[in-house]
Amino acid sequence: MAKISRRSLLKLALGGAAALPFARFGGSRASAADPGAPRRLILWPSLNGAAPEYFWPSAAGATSLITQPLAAYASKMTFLKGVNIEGSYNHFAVRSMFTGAAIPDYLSPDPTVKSVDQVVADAFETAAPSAMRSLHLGAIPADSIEFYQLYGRSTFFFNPTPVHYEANPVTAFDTIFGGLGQSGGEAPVDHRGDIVSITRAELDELEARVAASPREARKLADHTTALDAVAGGDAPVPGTCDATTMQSVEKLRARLQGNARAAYDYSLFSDIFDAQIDVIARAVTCGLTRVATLQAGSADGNVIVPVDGGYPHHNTSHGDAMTFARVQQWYAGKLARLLQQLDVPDPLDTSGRTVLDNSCVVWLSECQPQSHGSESVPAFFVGGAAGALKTGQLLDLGGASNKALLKTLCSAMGVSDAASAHFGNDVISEVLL
Amino acid sequence: VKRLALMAALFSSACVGQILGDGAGDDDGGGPDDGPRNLCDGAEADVAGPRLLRRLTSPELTASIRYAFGLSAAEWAGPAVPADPASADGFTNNVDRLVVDESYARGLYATATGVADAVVSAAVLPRVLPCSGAGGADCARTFLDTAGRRLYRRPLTDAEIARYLELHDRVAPAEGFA
Repeated sequence: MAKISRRSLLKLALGGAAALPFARFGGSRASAADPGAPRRLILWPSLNGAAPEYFWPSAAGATSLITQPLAAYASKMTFLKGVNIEGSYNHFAVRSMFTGAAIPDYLSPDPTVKSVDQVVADAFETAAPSAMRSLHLGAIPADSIEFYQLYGRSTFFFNPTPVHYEANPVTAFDTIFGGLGQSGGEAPVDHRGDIVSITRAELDELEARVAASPREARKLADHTTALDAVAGGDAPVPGTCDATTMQSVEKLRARLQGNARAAYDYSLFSDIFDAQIDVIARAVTCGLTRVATLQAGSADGNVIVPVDGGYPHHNTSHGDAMTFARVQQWYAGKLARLLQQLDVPDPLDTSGRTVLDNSCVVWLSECQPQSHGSESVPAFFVGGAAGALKTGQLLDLGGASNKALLKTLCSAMGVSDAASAHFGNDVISEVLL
Repeated sequence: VKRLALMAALFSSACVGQILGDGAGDDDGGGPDDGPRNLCDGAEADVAGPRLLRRLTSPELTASIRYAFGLSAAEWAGPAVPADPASADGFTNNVDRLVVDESYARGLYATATGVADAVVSAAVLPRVLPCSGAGGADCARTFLDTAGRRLYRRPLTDAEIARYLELHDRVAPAEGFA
């Protein structure tokens, strides 16, 4: 893929719980976060859960077998026992976990609300826009590119239609960073407004022709909304972002450049995962974007996880709990790679906090590996969201809804109650400062 | 100007796709429906299908651009749009799923920019538009009658032509033709 210009970067698409004690889940409240700090949200879905005995630590500040690779960050983590995925269970709960929407079975339609990443991205866009509204990457986010089209993109993130994940790290890097640092020549004039204006005029003409069809009229309405987003333009790329090549990406270039299908080669899973982590880390750290998600594997997928001789992810979750715990430990090792890169002074914050301190990185599962129940799913977050969230805790929330967790994240990120209304009113007050 | 008109034309026509049917049918405005629209069970009179907006699939978009401008793979690598979503049975050409959301619109805008860069290159533009060396309003109209017709799969309407020529007339004095 040819490198794109700096201007092209700016055009990037980046396209039943139990009742809860009042003491624990009050209404939303003002956040204690530093309002001027550049907060970030990163969502890390952990698929198929984990056996409790291998996931939960014995005490606050400790780690478990699965989370042992994260030991260096234990003081910045809060474990959340007792979070239930409300209105759903089994693997199809992936569509509920970050949206709060009820998905009672596989055949249920997709949520019609935005997932928390998109809600937060909206708020950031209004308050302090980033060059890239949000970034969504995948590491083999489906068993094949055909499965990605069929299932993968309706897995986690909605706006409210499924959000696209870029599964090819070479494409991701080139699209995001390829044009940075290029200079010379006169800066071109931005004709986005003219182009959007012409397109809007054509949509207006079409609207009259399909007025009798609600279905088609809705397509046009969605199209117009999307056009509005393009018309809005993007914020400048921060000077802290650079286009230095990444070893992890260059390692894959010969195999993946211009080859979307090759990004679903199981033998490359670990390398793709590393490269996507590195791309996200740089984009988030330099402030190019402040909302990112990374889906590694898929809920019903059998990408081979390179532990021992290799285990198929989903099938292994149905087998020996210790073996699957070691598989999940491998993913925790990948998360450590991300945290290490975020644990650096924040170039956008003069207070001396690290990017990780200003972030909230959320690990959340859709269900348990054997029972497929979605009660007390594995959950923790890392980072205090610029002082909004209390870390270093091991909490037992006794049946909190994932909607309370989503509402809490919104509160920590400065999202208004109105904008996060579909997550309800409860928050996890123990973690809000 | 040529680059600008090209971007606008590409962004517009590729977004919009085609309208099919005569509009006589109806629908409920609900979500994607993967089932047939007319069951043809013999118990009811034939009903004309509803008028449909149909966005091009990614392969169709790619083929359309290559045909419209004669671009080789070396000259243009391909669109930067997300993969087309599939229906429950795996087909990726379901009209109700081929929508333009924000991610797709941004990708399409980036695609339009990339195609414009390719077409106005010194190696391609004289081939696509031999009059480009001279430029001017007549040449701009020629472009709309040739490349525009291929992109829209029909002659442009007077209103469409007027919009593009207005853009040309407004921008050309400052930016030149190509």
